[in-house]
Amino acid sequence: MTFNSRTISLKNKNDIRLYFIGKFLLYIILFFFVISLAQKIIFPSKSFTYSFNHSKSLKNNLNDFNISDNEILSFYVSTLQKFSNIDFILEFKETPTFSGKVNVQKSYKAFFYPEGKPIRNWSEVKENFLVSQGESVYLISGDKKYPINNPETFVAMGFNWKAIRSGKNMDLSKYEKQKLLTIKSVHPDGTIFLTNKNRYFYIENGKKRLLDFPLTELQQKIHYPILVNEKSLSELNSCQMQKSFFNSKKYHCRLSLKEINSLPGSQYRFEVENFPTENSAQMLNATFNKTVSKENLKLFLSNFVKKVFNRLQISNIKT
Amino acid sequence: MKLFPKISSNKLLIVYGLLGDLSKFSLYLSLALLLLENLLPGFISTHFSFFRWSILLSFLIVLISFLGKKLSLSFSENKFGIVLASFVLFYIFINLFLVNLKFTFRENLVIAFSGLAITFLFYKSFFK
Repeated sequence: MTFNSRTISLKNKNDIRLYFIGKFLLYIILFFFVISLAQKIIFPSKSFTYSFNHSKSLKNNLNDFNISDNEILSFYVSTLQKFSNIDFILEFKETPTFSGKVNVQKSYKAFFYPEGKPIRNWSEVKENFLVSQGESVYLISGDKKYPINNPETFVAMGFNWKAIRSGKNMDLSKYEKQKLLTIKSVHPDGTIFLTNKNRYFYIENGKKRLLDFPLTELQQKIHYPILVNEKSLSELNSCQMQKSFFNSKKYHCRLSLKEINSLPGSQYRFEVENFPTENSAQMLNATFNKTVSKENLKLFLSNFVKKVFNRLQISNIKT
Repeated sequence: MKLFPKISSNKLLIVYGLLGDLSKFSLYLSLALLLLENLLPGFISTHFSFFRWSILLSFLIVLISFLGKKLSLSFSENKFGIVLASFVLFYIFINLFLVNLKFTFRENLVIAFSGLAITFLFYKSFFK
């Protein structure tokens, strides 16, 4: 008797048939297992939740929660990946009378700031810059330095690799060290956004201020602005929340990301209209999905090849 | 007291065979997944729990050995063929190389070959 099942000696014809039927079924199950695993890897989904009962729980990964007086709940989700749609679920403690609408926009948190007074004097502008020290990169904003936690955050925040200055001859100790910049962070004061309409905005004290100078002057003085699209402010993707068929306390809707996917930025701003201000909501969940499609498969393959290339290149560079 | 009083030994033999097939498949899948994970860290493990997988595999192996004992089956003496040995060594080498990509190419080669040599010495001292 060997471990190999082929050499198991079954003499009864019925048993042999049963074994092959079992093997066939096993292979079908394994086939579907591999397919589902591949689907999970190639077309992943990412879930973001917020529990109203445990608002300080570390599992809450929806950030910057705010409920305004006019019953609008707003929050942000940060992700670098591109998805096809979002399944949005809102669960209440008791069956509510709720007819909310969910809106989503894509850009950077700071670009959603309200517009402040335009700037007409260069002395008011102090642009941020990036400095490298060893393997670390810092964003210098005024007298503060913000360490950037990883390359993904760097890309997610829209920074340009060419903008990094060498910090070899700089004394970085004079800058006050701030919290690590992560994918969830907001761009600090001194950030400059350049829109698709060639308008430059300067971030200062929770406001974005238009740099009111001739374009040629702006292009000469500002080398690495963060690119944004003004459509991010005007274009809203919406869906109407509907009561779940199985659970009357649950409301859900699906938001398409097709129209806003091409916009620059990694931060999604959500707004839930007519949100009941009394303490009745229990849980909020936004699941970002990738649909099974040729485009997504192509995107996965190109990213995969790029990642493999980057990973193998590390050894080549050091050789 | 019999553990499977109503199941004939033939049926148990079928289950044993099917579990053997399942374990073989699981082994090939594990090899492929580990190779991919070492090539791109986090590529598989963000979607797939290797911990749960290893618990399932352990459970499967225990079940196979238990059934084998019940059926008074023993493993045949498996000759470790040259092809299989080359495959295992190549697999170990590739994995050692991939997990050490942060080293320089030369350092990585030295680590991978040393790893292979140590594996071979262990094998010799324990199994020969």
